[in-house]
Amino acid sequence: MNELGRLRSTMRRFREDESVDAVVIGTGAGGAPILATLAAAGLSVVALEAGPWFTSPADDFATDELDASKIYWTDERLSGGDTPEAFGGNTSGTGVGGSTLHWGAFTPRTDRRDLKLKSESGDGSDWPLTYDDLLPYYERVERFLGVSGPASYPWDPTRKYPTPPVPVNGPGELMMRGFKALGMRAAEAPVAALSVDYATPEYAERKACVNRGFCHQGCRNGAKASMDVTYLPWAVRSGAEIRPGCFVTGFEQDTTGRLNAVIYREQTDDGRATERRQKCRAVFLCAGAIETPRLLLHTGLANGSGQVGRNYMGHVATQVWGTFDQPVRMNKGFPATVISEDSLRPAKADFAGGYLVQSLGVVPVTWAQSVARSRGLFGEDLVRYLADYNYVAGIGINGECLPSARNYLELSREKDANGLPKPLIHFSYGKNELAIADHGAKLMTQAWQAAEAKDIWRCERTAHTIGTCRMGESPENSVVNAFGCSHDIANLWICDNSVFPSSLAANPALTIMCLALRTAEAFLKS
Amino acid sequence: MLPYRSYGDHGPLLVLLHWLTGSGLAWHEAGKILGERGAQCIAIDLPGFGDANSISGYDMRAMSTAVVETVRKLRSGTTEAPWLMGGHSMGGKVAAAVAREAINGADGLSGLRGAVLVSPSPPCPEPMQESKRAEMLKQLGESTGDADHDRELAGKFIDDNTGKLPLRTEVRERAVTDVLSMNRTAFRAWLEQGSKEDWSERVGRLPLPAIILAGTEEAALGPDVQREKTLPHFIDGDVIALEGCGHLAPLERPFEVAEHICSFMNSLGLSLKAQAGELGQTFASLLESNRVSAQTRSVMESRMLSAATWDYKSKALSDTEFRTMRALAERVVPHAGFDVAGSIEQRLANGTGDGWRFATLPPDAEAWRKGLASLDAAAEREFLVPFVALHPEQQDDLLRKASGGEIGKGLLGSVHIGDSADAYSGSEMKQWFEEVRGELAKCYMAHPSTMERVGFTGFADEGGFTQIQIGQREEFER
Repeated sequence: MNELGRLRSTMRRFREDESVDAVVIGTGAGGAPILATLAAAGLSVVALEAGPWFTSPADDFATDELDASKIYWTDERLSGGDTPEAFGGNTSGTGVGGSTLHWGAFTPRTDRRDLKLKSESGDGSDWPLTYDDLLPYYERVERFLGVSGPASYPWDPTRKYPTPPVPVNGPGELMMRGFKALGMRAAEAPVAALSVDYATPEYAERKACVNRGFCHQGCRNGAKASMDVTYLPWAVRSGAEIRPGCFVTGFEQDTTGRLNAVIYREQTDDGRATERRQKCRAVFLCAGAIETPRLLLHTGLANGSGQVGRNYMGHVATQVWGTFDQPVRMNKGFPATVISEDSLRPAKADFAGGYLVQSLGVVPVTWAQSVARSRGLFGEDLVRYLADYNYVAGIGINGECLPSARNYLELSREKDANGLPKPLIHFSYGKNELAIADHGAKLMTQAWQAAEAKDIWRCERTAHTIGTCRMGESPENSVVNAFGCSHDIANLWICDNSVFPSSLAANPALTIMCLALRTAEAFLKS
Repeated sequence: MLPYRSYGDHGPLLVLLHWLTGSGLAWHEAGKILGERGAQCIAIDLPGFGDANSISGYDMRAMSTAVVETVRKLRSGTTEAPWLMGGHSMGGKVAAAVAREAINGADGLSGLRGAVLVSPSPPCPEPMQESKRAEMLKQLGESTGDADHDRELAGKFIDDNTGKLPLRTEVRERAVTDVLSMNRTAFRAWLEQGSKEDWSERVGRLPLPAIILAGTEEAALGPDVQREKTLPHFIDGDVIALEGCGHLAPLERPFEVAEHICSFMNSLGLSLKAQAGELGQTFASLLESNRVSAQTRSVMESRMLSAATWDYKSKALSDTEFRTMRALAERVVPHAGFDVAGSIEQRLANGTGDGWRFATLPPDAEAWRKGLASLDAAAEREFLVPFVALHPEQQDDLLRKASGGEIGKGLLGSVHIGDSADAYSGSEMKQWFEEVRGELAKCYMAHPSTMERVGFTGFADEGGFTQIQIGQREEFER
């Protein structure tokens, strides 16, 4: 059992008819830091988590991609538009710890310019906060998680990572080689996996990463800073309660419109579901950019702006693959060990914003699916290429996606097992996304050629779920304010990737955690 | 002992006899599939045909006696093992006679569990018009002395017996070569004597289950004739009509024939072991070693177990749909060594999804049903027969078109498949086939035997890895 598992038996428990200070919906990158911060401040808080509680990752998680579906959000989502995004294991997790259980733990900070893209380029959307607002939070979160990174970060020499980088693996080595040949910078990536054993006052010592490579299938030794080994033990030790198997279906309001109870279905061990109701004085909705707007659209709440579900974004996550003469065995080591930020604002670019590049080690089943889907192979061609697995390495981008009126989430006519309509997401690349994908593919192809890859091909892919409850100054065109508080309902706060007004080029989780701390502190101040 | 070819080296034994002018090679395609499916097939050359060209004894008694002796020798040492008797056309009549011998307790023939007959000549005198018999004798009874002309006549004979879909070139060539290399005396003997012999009383009613396959395009020995003349000889039998197929099902429809034989074996309680159910020594030792965590080993072993046989019966899809699904799976991940389609069908039946689907497609089970129906519609449109009946090259051609968005209802696309609500549009078909490829590749790659094939050992991660740079290897990596 891990530390959090051990804490479970002595965890404080609240009565449903006792009005707790806050209910936090979701225990991922948004919910967990809030839960911990509020509990540490002495508040009574209950977290409702839809997924199960994996109390012993060392025993619960097999090194197996199909078995890992238990940590993926597998309630069906309908993916529409010209660039339909793959959900499930590609984007969303479940369980105590939320999506951080299956998270890649790649933790770049956002670039300062990305927060003001509209001012810079005329496209996209500015955030109602600045990099300097986020900076202290970045530093705190990185320290808390023990983020590993290079001693000197080429794109921000002032930055200091608390632990040294994790070892560069095969794909990372190849990316370094390719970028060097192109005269571009690449460095060890900031990742929320430990290169050395690490302890903080708030949680028990975590062991260093042992390079298993199955990070997306659940970390077994706590080296990856998923919420269940970082913020959540702190939260529970500080008096928070976590209820697994609890899927929220609605709210109750008082006469002034404030929320005073959360309605949820609790999945009991015998497989049945019971409807429950927790009284509370505030609600933090941290269910991600699909479940958060879905619940709000279903309940009709907090949507005075009409912006709930709008501006859905997914990162442009184009990949380039190649086959090398020597075995790479890309499954070993942290999946993405090398980064480049040189392409955040490429010279003479025909698009707004930019993208990060990262080396890619992908485990075989996930890779086989990409090959079959995106490369379009089947038959002997497919089987023969899959047999090259040990000799293949990838490189990928995480690129800006502009908010667009064309891209939105709505409720479909189909209902799921919880009786809620399944979400229908419309997503199509615009000109900017297409240009970024092309630019990235061209650069990565050159890098792979320079690294002497053969049989190079491009894989189109989108990653992450972003937008749908954007933050902003004005109640007219945003759902929450710059601190995550709903413009419509004073005691409803939202914190997850849904509040992002623009996608940023960086992977979202680290920034979500920063926003979470900021939201929690704003709540405490109010 | 008659010459024979064998396919597969374990599992239930199926003895197969061939048609007039053919040889054991007529079962080559179906035999290979059955061999991969965990059955053993022995395809015998009857006296006067194939490699038995110089062996005499062409009447029913002589042929059945020769087969009985051959089977006895082949089965020596495994006399209690279950086996099935099968035959095509002429071979079907001999097979029924052999089955009677076995039922009567002939030495070395115990354990007979069923009969597989394909367009059999019935035990009674074959219902054949005299003019037809005369024409065949004229056509092939003697060599014309001109090799080219002989070849031409043989080709015509093969084509006349073929249904809506012409044979694959190599299969047709092989069949023509069989005709040319047969002993023409044996050919005449069958037409003039063997086919006219009345064995209906001697065969009687066999206390055996049987399947009788027959093509709907066949002139004399189609499903109706089989129901009337052959079926009553079995206590428990089914006549299965093969839509659009002629007299040469083993050559025309090897996949479907093999599928029906597998289902039949399953219905008799005979299990068909998947090749992928066995791992090589090195890989198996690694999986057993302390490099693999207990839960990982358990997950991998239970996956092996759940895909250990070809015995799966579809739950969400009909039998016909499932055969098409298996045909499709074979084109996407050929020779996987296990029932990939079965694993996916099981998921469809359980209703467990992967968290998303294309909004343009219906829920998973319905999406498969509709996709398979669309493939069938395209196959009917292009080749007049369903998808499952097509040659692998033709199936691949349709799949390439599907992935290019060229198959679908509506006016666009090169293969217009009508406007039925059961059919996809070109873009839907493209998305569905992407989904199909992804699902099949996922299921294929996740099987331990595929990992072994690929050389993937990342599951052996207890204690982690230390040799993660290029050129380095862990001690167990080769």
